[in-house]
Amino acid sequence: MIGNHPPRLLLKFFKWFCHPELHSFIEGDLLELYQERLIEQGRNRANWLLTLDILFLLRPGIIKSIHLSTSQITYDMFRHHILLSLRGFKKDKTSSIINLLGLSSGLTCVILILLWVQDEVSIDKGFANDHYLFQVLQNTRSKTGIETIEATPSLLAPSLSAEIPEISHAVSVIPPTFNMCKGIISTREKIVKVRAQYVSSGFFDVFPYPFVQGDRTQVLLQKNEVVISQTLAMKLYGDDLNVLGRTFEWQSQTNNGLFMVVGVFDTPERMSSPPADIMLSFALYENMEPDQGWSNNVPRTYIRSQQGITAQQLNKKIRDFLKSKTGDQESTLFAQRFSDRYLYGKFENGKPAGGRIQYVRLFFLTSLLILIISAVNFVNLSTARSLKRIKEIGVKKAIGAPRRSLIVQFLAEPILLSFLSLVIATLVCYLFMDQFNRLTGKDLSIVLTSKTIAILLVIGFSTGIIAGAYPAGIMSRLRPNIALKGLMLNPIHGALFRQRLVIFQFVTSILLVCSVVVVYKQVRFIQEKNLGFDRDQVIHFDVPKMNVALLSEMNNVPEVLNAGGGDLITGAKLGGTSGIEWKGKNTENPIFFSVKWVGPNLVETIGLTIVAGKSFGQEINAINKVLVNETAINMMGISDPIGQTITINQDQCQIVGIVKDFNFESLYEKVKPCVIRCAPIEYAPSMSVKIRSGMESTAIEKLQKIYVSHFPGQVFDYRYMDEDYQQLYASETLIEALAKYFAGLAIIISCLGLFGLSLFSIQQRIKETCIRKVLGATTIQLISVLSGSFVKLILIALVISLPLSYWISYNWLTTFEYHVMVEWWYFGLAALFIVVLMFISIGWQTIKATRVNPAEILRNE
Amino acid sequence: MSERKIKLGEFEEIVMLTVGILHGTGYGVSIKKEIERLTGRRVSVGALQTAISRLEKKGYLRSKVGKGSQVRAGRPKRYYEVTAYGKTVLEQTRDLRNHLWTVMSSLNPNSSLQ
Repeated sequence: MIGNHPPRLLLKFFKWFCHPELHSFIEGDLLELYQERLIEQGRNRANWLLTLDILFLLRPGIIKSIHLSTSQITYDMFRHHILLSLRGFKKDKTSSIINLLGLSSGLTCVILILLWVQDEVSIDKGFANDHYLFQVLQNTRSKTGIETIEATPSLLAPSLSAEIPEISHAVSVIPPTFNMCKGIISTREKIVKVRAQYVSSGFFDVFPYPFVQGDRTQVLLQKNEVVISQTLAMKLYGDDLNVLGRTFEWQSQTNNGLFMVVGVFDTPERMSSPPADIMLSFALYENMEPDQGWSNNVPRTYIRSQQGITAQQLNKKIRDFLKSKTGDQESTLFAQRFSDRYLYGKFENGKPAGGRIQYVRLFFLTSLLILIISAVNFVNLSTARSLKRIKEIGVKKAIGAPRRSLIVQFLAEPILLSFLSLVIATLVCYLFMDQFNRLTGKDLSIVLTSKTIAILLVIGFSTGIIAGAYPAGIMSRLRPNIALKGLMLNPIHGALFRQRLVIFQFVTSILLVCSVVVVYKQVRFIQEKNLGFDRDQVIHFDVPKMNVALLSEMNNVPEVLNAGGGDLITGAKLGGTSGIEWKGKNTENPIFFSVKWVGPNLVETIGLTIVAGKSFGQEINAINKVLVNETAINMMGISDPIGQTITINQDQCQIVGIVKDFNFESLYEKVKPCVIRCAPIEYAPSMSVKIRSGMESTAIEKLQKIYVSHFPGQVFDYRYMDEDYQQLYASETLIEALAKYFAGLAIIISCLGLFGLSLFSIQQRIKETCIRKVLGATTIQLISVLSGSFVKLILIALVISLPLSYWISYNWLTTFEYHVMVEWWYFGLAALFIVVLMFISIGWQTIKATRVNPAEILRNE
Repeated sequence: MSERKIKLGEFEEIVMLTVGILHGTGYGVSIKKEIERLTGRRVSVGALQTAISRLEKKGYLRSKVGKGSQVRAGRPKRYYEVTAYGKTVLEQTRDLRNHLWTVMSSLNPNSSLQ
């Protein structure tokens, strides 16, 4: 009968809320009923009925009043607890320092990453109508699957705003990344290089840039009007408060002319891509490309929806809009919120597949993990240490300390420690902020607003509580009679838990180390992979106006291998079209081609391999010739392509050659079909020059002289192509660096933890070791006995983490179309590394223990 | 007879009557069982306890502490009995009901409620 207890937790809960006067009577009733039900209806039913009874006892007459729980925690006790904690720190300095180091590193990590995450999340959200701002994207089905592209027909915007009532405004934009957007402004006093953007009317209804001068509803109505940014206005006109009506000359490869300033806008902060310096009327673009049919997809379309319209409603309406105009069954439209483009810009087969948000989540989780590892360290060390304080607790309880005050005491220490670590972590963050900013390419800083301080306090507090909860819980539970004897019931219970924690720490550390190795290999691979064209020793620079003389002069420089017009912007998704016709085209499956424009001699400069036919050569005007890549030829199914004529957006072009596939997009994607057209020389906005290796400085000097002789007053601003290429993988490089830091931190913290733990455990076993020694154990045997348990833990950790890291690495690598294979030695290396570190951590302690003189230790037996 | 309006809820009345029936031997569990036996309706420990506490506060019941037993893990019991005041209240309530019944039947000599 005595063995049949009702669940203790239920009774505890009841005792907690019940008025003390009523409690024991009601509890007696409940127990009596429970015994009866146990016999009549069985245990489960009895438990269930008891639960119901207790729940229905939550009534005003029975619940105790709040005043009844007298707080025995006064100011003096508070001081006592803090004093005790401080003494605790001093007594066990090594432990405290280990904990401090671990927690500070964890917190630094978390703070820095939180700053980064906060910045990432607020990008592109600067506009007031952010909720109603969308970009219209196109999904086109082709043989390769569903492509999501930004390019849309320029007719789309006006039609959308006219025909769809849910859309209040729509605009077409040619973004600054396009070649035609680079140009030079000259006023009487200054010459400035700028990036332009072509926007259709109503742009500022969609994007409400604040206007410093001018009326944003009345701008860009004429083709010669222009609005400029505040920064540009400063550059051109200094502090002049009224620049409206001023004119300047703008030269790009496609437009020359006099333009009049009709407005000055202020660029919002935190935009994902650097904004344009000037905005021109879209009509100019339409002049350049008169054929603006429905199948020519080039500009971007942005819309503003009416108030209260959701994305779903929008999408339903526009989905088949394009189909209805072009009859092209394979393309659907959808709208994505403008501010989501940055973080959620990746699409796979037409469906959203994350994007940068995955990195954000990854970094955030990892930094939390690191914090948890250091908290785990603390838990381990303090549970181990608290075994020494059993007598103290026994005395306190015997005198009558309420359980709560013991809990507070045991929480005070970790909370104090956390706050100290927090302060240290904040200082460290300040110190390393510059380096971090350089690493991430941002401009972050810790601004001590009350909100920030509040967040930091919460982090500190919760770390303290998490770290201290378990030891506090266990310690306050001791029974005084047993504690006074210096024992703790169930000491094994503690050891198992600690072991599990250590395993967890090491599993995480091993995972991180493996990921460092894998990421490192993949990033190296990316950097070194042969993309099918030459990146080394190729510089490129913008050119105000290309001409034949410039090209031949540069080519004649002996240190130059090749100079060509234009440059290859890798990775950027430029325009493309499905409006390509050829003989034998299967009209059922339209193929979307990327269209690349190059200048004379660029193919040779960049080193694209021609597998059949020939390149454009040195021809100045090869507008009717086109090169096609292997994938395109395969998809088009043309048997004898050289010499055949195809139509690209109503232009007749003759295929003169086939190029070997090259990666013009990121290595996440397979090579797509691509046609390369050669623009007349005047249209080239830039040049690329391949320099003989070893002769860079001489070559650049000479090139600069030639440049300046053609364009006096201009700066020869060149960049290396492989540097640009690195930029493309900025995220991956960031991951590599951060992964290294994370892994390093995790390992250090885990080893610190192991060190502290082994210190303690070996101390505990000193008597045992001496006895063994006396009985004749050799040093080797002693070492293996002492370290045995740790080795076992590490092995378990390895067994768990290696398959896990294989699985994770495999998943990440396969997101790239082109990647390294996962090889076993990655993990072998990580495992070896960990094992070595482990031995270092515990080795010294172990060896010291074996050298102890047994006579000293066994004296007191 | 007091001037105050005495309101006795239906459940409270039943509880008091049962305590009266048990004649001073009633405590939590036994009162609950007796009510369930006599009226056939389920009574929750919480509802019963609240009613009893209220009645005790009003002075209709009084209690004394009794010994605990093993089945209750040593917890003591509280035995309740009806006070004189409580008895008065019960009688008043009964009289009120009876009066209303009488009035109703005198108005409808042929009603099926006879």
